[in-house]
Amino acid sequence: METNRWRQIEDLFQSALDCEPARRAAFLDSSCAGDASLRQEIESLLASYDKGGFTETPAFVEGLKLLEENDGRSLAGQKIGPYKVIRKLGQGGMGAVYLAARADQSFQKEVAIKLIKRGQDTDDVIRRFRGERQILASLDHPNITRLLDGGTTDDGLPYFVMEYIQGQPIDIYCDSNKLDTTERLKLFQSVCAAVHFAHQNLVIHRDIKAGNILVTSEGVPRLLDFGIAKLLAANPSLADRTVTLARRMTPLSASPEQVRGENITTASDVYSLGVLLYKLLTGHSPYRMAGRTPDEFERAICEEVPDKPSSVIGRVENSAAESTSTPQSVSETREGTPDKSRRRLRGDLDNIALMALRKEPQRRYSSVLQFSEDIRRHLQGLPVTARHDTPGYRASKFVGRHKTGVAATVLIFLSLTAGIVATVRQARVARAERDRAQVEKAKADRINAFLQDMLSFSSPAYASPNPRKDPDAKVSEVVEEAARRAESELADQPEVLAEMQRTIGAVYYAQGRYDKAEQILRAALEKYIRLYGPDRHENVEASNMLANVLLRKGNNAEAEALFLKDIDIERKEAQRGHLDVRTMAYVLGDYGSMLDQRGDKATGGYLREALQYASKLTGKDRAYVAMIDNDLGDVAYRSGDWNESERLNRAALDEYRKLPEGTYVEMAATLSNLGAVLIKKGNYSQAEPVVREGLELRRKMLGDAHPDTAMSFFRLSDLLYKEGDYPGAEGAARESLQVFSRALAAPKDSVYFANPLLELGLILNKTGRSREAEAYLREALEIRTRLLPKGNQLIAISEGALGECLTSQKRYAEAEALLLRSYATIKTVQGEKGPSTLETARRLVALYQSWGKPDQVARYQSALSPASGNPPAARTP
Amino acid sequence: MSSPGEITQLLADWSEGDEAAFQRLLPLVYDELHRLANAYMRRERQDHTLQTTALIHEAYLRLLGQQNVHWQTRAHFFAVAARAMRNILVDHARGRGRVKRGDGAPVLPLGDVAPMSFERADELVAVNTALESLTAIDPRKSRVFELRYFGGMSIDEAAEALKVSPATVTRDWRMARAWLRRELSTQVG
Repeated sequence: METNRWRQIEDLFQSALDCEPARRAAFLDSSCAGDASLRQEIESLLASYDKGGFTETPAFVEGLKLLEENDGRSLAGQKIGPYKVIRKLGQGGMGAVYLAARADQSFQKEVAIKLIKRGQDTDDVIRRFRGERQILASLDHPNITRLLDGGTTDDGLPYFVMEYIQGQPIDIYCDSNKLDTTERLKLFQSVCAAVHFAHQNLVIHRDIKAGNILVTSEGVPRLLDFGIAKLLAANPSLADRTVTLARRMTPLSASPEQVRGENITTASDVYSLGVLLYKLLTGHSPYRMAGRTPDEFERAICEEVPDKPSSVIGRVENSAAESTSTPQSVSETREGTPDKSRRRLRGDLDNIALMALRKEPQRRYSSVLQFSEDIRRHLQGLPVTARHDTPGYRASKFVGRHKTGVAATVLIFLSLTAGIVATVRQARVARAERDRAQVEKAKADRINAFLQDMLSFSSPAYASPNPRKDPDAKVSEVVEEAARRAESELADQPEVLAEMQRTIGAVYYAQGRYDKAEQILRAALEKYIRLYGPDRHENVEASNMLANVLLRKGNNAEAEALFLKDIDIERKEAQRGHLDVRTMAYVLGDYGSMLDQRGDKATGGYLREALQYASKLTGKDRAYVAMIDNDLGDVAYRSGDWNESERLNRAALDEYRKLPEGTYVEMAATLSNLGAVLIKKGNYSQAEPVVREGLELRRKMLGDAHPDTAMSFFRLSDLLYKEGDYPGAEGAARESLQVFSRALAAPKDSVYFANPLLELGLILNKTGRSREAEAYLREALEIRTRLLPKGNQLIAISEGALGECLTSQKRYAEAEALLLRSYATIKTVQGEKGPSTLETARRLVALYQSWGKPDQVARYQSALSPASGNPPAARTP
Repeated sequence: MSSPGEITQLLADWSEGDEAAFQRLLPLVYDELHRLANAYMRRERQDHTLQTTALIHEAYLRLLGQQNVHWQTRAHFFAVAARAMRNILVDHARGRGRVKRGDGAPVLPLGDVAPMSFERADELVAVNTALESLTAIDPRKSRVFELRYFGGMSIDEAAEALKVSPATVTRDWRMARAWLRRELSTQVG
């Protein structure tokens, strides 16, 4: 930069800085007049100046600390015991290591001296050393660095003298020489040989890690620091320190028992060797450290099951101590490409590494020799002893931990999950052989279907032998575990992952956990679309299920769009001659059911069309016939055709009871609906056992935090109300509200929640608590108004109930407005003689009677037929 | 061990631009800094308000004795200490960077804890580079920065070392900080 310009810049910068901030702009305006680049220069300097820096981090002080840590240079030329320090070799948490030579000998034998840091109680360290030195000195093995001597310096610092080895830490050696997996395994076997030898001499290393294994230029690995950890840890005052150091410095290779401060055995070395092998094979540590607190990291060591080496290859990791690891970077120094690395590791090596890394010492290899032997078998192509840590085992552990009675279900679920994964993997292996792959795929489909049945609560196996009292949090955890595992284990097989996610989504759906269901089904659908394209038959199952979930969550618009799209796909598929009867029945039936729920007249058409297809189904698919019968029964119910509704519901019930595989929870819906019809028909004595059977079925199979159970309580409440059992009705209605609140995160976003609100309001009004009733009725009305389309008769029915309540409070004008509006709407839907029309007319009569308006009384009385007088209609689920 | 007289001569030579003199001074200063470091760390536990320049002064006295040397010698010694500290820090930072980038590891990684974070190491290397650029534009500002930042010197001490007024050091220091901060932010992106 030109000197004059620099001067000019500086002068203006300094002057501007001396200006009051408020005046700076004006100052620059005048002094930079016209020179835009000058002004920009000054402004950027001012901005940088304002950012500060450099004064609050005095590098000088930092330098002093650094020097204190690396206290080695000043030791050069000085003596440690009889040794003269040549230079520093390295720095660790416990102290520094120096290259030194024995001063009093004619020949210069170089040694490495580990000088333990200040602040450690030295006497005990030295005493321990005296006790152990015989043993340590006897560790004469080509792969073990001998411990030669030990003592204290003049300053009282303990030190250990070891053979001096020139070499690279084993991980760096492997990477810089680009050793392939086989070469790495052979090197690792030498390490095992050394550790095994030490174990035979009753010495445990306790701190096996890459930094403690140097590989010489001849390619011979040499282990450092045998027994040192024990010497330091044996002292109680040092124990704390070592623990702290271990936590701060070597947590990666620490075993769970080390982390917990439990007994350290040879199994701990097996574990640390496992960590080393994992790192050598994959370039990653078994547990992520980045972004974790020490506590979290320790928990991971004790609880987290590491990803398989073959899958961790795909991880991108930014660790604090190293550069970013990517699938490419870790493969470049190993097998060449990520794919090759994965293939090389999959199976045997996955199992071997994870066996060594098991949490429980007794479940690891029983000795280092066994560990090494398994690697030999692998290298020779023989079957290895390590087995995949079976889901069965983990499940049983899981169950043991949670002490629940769900063992059977959990076991079956997890083993099936594994089964699918395994089967589909095999299918993938045979990818070239298309036919075989398809057979395998079909097999996987079948397993999938079975699994889904197992857990969708539709199977008798689930309902027995221990009926659960709540929707099982433990099973839920297992399902989440499965979801998590699927994601990590199947990342490279999107079609299998998509299938698993769809299955798990179905389980969530069946459990009534709609948020989770939505999330995972969206993930599944996205994968299907990416795999097969946007408008494909393959996507329909996931899409249809997602639509049902959305419907339950109140996202009707998106649900409908999905339903319509699915129907469109299936119809086109049928035109091409690929009719899938079952799927067709589903998409039509589910959409019909949705239309039914919002009172759309088109529903009957869809449902009857669905029934045509469904009636061709056999076996347990007949359940779908029952479900459509049920929905058609609901349509009939809604149009006030109670006889037809009863007939259809009874037909559905017959179909359910004929099914080969016992109890279907969907049967409870039919029972509930049949109960509703019978209530409508005034046939309470028949209704009550039906309603109670439905409720019990749901409580048993779904638990007391499921929306459907809530609906059953509501149905019972409605029945008891009509029978005049108000306390019973009130109890059931309140129970229903509670179950809803447990089942749904935002119950007020569910239109179903309005039912027990309305019911409770009616009961309270009936029993003289109209003020309290009003709150519930208004809430019900608010929900229905918000969630249902304008003009829906359920809104009108809600208005009618509120009108009745206001009549009780003698707020006639308000009541009249509501009741008239309600009457008009319901009459349009049900006609002049529809049951709810008549119900509303009766309410109007009551209003005008109370209000003292005989003309109006007469007008609506004439609309009433002798047969009517039933309480208001309520919705069926 | 060099005598105080030799050290004085070396300091004088260096101030005249003799880089070889500086190279001979460095090991002496390094050792003294190491000793200081230990003293500092010991004292730090008792006295957090310890003045860093008091430490350097102590080192200076140890090396050169109580003899009545020219005031400029003291300033020159301070300047050498600042340069030495800069070298130590930047060397170490570069070492960190090398390990991080994985091209060989000359120092045995005995532990997983480094006294300097990678971010800090990167910053130090960047400061060093920027400071070299500043030297090309305005050598005195670069020296002021070095004395203050790496040498821990006060405004007055830096003024003494550079034979300029404290007001000038203040202005240089402001400008150097602003300029370097801007350089670093454009480097980092």
